[in-house]
Amino acid sequence: MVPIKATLFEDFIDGYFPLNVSLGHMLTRHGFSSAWILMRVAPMMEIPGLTAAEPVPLHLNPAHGGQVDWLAATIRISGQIASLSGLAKWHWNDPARANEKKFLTTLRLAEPAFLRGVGFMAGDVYSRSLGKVRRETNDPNILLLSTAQLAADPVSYKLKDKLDSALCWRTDFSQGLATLTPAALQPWACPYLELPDKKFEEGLLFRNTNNLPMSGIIADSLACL
Amino acid sequence: MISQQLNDTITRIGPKTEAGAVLRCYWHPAALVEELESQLPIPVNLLGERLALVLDDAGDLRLVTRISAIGEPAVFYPDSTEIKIEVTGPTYPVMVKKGIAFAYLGNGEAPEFPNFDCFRADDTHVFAFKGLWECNWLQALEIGIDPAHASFLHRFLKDDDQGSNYGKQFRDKVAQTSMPMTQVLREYPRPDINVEETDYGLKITALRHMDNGQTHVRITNQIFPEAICIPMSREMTITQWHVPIDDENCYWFTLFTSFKEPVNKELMRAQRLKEHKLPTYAPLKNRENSYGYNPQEQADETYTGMGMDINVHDQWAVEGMGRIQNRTREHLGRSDKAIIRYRRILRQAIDAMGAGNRNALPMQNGEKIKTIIGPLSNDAVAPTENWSGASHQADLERRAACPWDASV
Repeated sequence: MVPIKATLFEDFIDGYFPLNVSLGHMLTRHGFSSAWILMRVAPMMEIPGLTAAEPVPLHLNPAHGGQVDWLAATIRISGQIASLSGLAKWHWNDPARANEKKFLTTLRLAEPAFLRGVGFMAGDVYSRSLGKVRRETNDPNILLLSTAQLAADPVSYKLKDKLDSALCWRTDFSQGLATLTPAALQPWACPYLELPDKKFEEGLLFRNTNNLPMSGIIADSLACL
Repeated sequence: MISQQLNDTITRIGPKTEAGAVLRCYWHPAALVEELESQLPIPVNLLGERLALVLDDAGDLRLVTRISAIGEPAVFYPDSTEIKIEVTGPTYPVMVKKGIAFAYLGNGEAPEFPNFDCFRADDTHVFAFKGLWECNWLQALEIGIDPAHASFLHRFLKDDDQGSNYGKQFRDKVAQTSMPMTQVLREYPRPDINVEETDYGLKITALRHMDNGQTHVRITNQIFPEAICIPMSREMTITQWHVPIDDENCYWFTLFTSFKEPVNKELMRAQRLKEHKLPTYAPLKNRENSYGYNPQEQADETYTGMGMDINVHDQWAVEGMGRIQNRTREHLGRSDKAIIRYRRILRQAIDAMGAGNRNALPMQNGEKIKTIIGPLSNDAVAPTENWSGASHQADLERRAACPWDASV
């Protein structure tokens, strides 16, 4: 477990641009190198033949519309745009697209969308899903968990059994890391940082979940399952 | 720029529609109590249903189905002697609150009323009125949660002497200053907008940073599903429901709530009756007479040229979009934050109802509803570097001087 600098945030991202462009704008606006985000019930569109740099038309053909029911993803800045990794549920109005398995990160939101998440700054702590993130040297609020670290970390090692069977965990570690025990942890559903095979890879531990941004994140997380 | 399919989903409210199922989880204004002073039954056209208010065998008001002719106008208001009850049709409970008869058209148990100021205040401090807008309820609501529009649509080129503005929106001075509200809206047209989700809907904060190191803080609210609560003056707030008659018409029902002095109901009613005709409460300024548009007034006095009643400006703006706004052609921007957040809540509620999870909707959680108070709704001015507590402090001071129990 490594204390990392992380910021809970709420924001609106622009619609009409490709999603990975709007998310890239958001990361740049906040000065984040990566983030874990949650977005719900956001109208979307994909206009056939429209290149990334072209403006959207004035009128939306119904067949080109749909909705992101939810998106839970890690995003990392990559030049001007964001790369995405995560899970999503979505639907298009066009029934012919009902069985699409791949979520297109270049689709466009049909209107600006509200989202919540946790943002990270560039640093020297390696994370497979977040890139290199900044270590928190003062009073830590969020810890990065990694299965790769378990063997070397006695506290994390004690968590191993539970980590294998849950997506992630929350706790209050206000009394310090030494008091952190598996028994003190309460399971909840998210955030997972990456779930390639529904297997736990990395996760976040939050010091305090009793605040407004966090309660929104928890509510959105639960709704995404 | 949403699809027509999604636009239909969030706007259409008849029986067996998705948004209609959400709205039917709440109490809705059905009629003014002053309408009940004529002989019962009286017609009520609500949520796409043709109804009538009657007294049941126990002497309680009840909403029942009435027989209607095919092609009956949306705002049809037959005389009581012409109303025929459909005895096998649905009937709904009614509750009178502060001059409005509210009806519950949903399944199961009706929710509690929240303990909002408009319901807590003494009867002497609340005045109710309504008016017809010929458009879908959602566009009528959305203008009310857009804090930026007031600086344009309600722009007055001259400030009044403040002498005869009782009961009128945006015609008071700002908070504790000598600055007319019209001047603030005119000179600082680009507010920073913050939106927070609450137990009841949304709290919307508009910040207008002024030249003198001060910030004007205006707090308004969206009360789910179709109401707003906004400050009208230093003394009064407006709680306004945009109640669907059908998909293409709605009534605004307003409770004007006064904190300190009793409302001058006679004056406020007379002001509004000058602008509306009974029994339908249809506005006298409307599409047929170009909303009273006067180009000379537009050059000299107001942004719209449609008179001093801001309700007419809003009516023109929302009716001008068409009966149901074509959102396949809209392009929301960042100043539309509250509208974006509201639609998100509405879509979530639609999804939750589809999944059979009514408890996920705002204000559907039993006893907790009664603990919802306020909401804070006012204008305040504070130093720009320290504006955040200003509204709360001004609200506490106003409540402390209030003769009815306005404690929070």
